[in-house]
Amino acid sequence: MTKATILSLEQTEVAGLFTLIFEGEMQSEFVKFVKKFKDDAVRKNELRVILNQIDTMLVKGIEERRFRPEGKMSDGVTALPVYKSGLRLYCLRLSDSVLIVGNGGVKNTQTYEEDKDLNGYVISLQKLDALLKADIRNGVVRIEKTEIVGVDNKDYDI
Amino acid sequence: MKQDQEGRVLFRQIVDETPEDLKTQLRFSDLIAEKLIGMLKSKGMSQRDLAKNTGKTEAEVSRWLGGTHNFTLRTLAKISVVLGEDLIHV
Repeated sequence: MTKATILSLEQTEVAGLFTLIFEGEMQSEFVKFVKKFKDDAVRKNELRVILNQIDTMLVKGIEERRFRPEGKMSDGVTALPVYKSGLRLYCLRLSDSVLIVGNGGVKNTQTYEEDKDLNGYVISLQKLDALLKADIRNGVVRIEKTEIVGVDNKDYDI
Repeated sequence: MKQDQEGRVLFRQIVDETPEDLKTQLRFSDLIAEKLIGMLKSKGMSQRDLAKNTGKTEAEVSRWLGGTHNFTLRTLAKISVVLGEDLIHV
């Protein structure tokens, strides 16, 4: 188990974008994802598609139609896909205005479970989702419009 | 809340450096998806109906509505025929 903290990435009047960072690491999961592909001649444009999609959501809202369900039916893990290439950015869509982005990669297997790295990214978000939902149920954390309130000094064991 | 400053800078940098033709393509894709959603709603059609009537899978229709799909003219024509109205106007 590793401790993770939620960080704010971008805020607009319409949406809040967040990511997570693991204890002892210098880079957030989102930064790790971007750095993997930003200088890759083949994947660079696909990364641009995903990030521009996020930029659109910061203006139009975190609409469900833009995501592909991943994980299990019972969790909120979803992915921003580039369909033909298989590039996926795994996310937790908490509401129409709040999105947590994690890490991702190229899905070359039929299911994410068959890929050790992708499986790890999804499991991390599944655990975070379960812990956040428990905190929301207990009134420790609230989703208020574009904000996640109550996670400022909180670590999650995931 | 703590900020991911490096993430924010990288995000902005990559969005800002995206070539205008790709940005325009994505804008068109999203506008078509929004138009299609509106037309389905006004005609009381579900995504399943559209899939069935265009001979596509529901997963394919879901991709059309995702906002990044690179529609072919053939697909746009098929959808327009099924909806009984042109999806795009030039």
